Amino acid sequence: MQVQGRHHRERVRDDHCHGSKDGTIRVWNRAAEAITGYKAEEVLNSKEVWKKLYPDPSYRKTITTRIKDILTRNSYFENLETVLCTRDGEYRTITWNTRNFETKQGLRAIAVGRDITELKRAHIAVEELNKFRETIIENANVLLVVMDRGGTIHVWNKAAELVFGYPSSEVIGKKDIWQHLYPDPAYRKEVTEQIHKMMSDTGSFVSYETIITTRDGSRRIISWNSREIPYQGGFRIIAVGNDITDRKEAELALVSYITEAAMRLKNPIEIIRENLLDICSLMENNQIERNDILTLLEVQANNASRILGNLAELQSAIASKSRAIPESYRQFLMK
Amino acid sequence: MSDYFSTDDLEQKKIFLVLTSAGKVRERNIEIVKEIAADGYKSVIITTNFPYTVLKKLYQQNGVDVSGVYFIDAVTGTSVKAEQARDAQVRYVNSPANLTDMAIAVTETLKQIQDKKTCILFDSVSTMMIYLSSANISKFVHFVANKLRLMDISGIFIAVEKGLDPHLLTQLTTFVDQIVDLSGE
Repeated sequence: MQVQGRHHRERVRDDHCHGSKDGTIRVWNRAAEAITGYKAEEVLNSKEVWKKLYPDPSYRKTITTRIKDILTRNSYFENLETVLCTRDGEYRTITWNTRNFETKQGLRAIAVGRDITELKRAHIAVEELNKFRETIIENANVLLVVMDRGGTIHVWNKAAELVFGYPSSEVIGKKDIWQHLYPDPAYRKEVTEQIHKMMSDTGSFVSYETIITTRDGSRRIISWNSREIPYQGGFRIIAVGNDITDRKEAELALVSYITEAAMRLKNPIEIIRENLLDICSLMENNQIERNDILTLLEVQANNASRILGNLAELQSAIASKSRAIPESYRQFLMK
Repeated sequence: MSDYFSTDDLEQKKIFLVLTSAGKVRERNIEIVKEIAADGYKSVIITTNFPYTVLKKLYQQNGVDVSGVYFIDAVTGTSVKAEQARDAQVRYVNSPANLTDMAIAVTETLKQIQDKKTCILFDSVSTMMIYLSSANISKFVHFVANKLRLMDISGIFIAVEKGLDPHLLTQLTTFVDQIVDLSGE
């Protein structure tokens, strides 16, 4: 049996160990010593080391069964992967390749083992990283679309599915989705031209807003950030979109609210001022009597009271709508 | 005398939106009523700004024959004096915010007059902003304008030019036939 460690590659030819078909170790090279921690003198002419290398009886039985099974069919095995336990308790992954050969002492098997623990770990790490990246892309709270220069979609994450209403299975590998998202040909042309221009100018753009039509016919405002990156000899365009419809609507509502507030506060105060000036003018010209003056002043006082009521309504609405207002200020506004 | 509306306009039962500056609302009101009266029209003044007693006095001082002037007073409110209450040419609404009562008063007054040569003057849309949201004002003006068209009667809405937001102004312009912009005068 021969054991070859990655870090003992230079000894491939010399470092080997042989074993009998019953598992008795006949050769145990230095790489085998280095990897397992067991010295040749401890293991040679014995098969006890296998129990140490595979301390879990059920796993050992599984491995033994597999080896027997393979050898029954092929008389050798290739790339058999096992996890062995070293002397210091560390588990290492080894790939085994064997050949049987005849010796004067009878049939022998040479097993060459390669320690792929680090490689395995690296593979797992890469797989995990890829999975993590895919998970991030899939579950990102932003629309993530990757396409080529022709507009064919290559990545379409869950957020895109959710907002646009089209599952990735209907979109990936196709480019007709844009006709659905931008059904108005004139608007689609305008958007396409602007994107092409921005891309050709700088290779990227930020906060470019478009209005898309979803599968159910509703309209959403998307803010896009996009960048072109080289990919396998070609290019890919990564587009990250944020659905800002609610924010835009909130902004419009705020503008509407402020406008309404201005109309119901500023304008009425102006009216009261003008009315008071008018009353002064009427008094100066003796056009109205004392009772009229009192009535007119009372009306203006009522108007002022009403404006105060409107202001209180406004304060209350602001306090209840904005979570950013500290509690003490909120209470003050609500009074 | 000012001539804001031609006889033809009134005969065609047009509905107008008069835009004026804040300081000239009362002055425009008197000028318009004077012009309407001179054209032989009765007028119904919906006032949300000046009490009818004061307006009536001012009309008289300006030579308007007030026998043809009717009032819907949403200013005086609940403090109506007994002698005022007896005046058949006035109906009171307790608040400009009470659009239902206001609508009833308009309907009843027009029934009472029963004259096609009648013009309604609404003074003013801007003062209504103290009492109502722009959405409700828009609805009310729409209601009154429709009522006038159904009854084949002219109407004039006065508003302070800078007191209305563009959206409300746009809405109001769709309810009327013509805008008379006096804000620069």
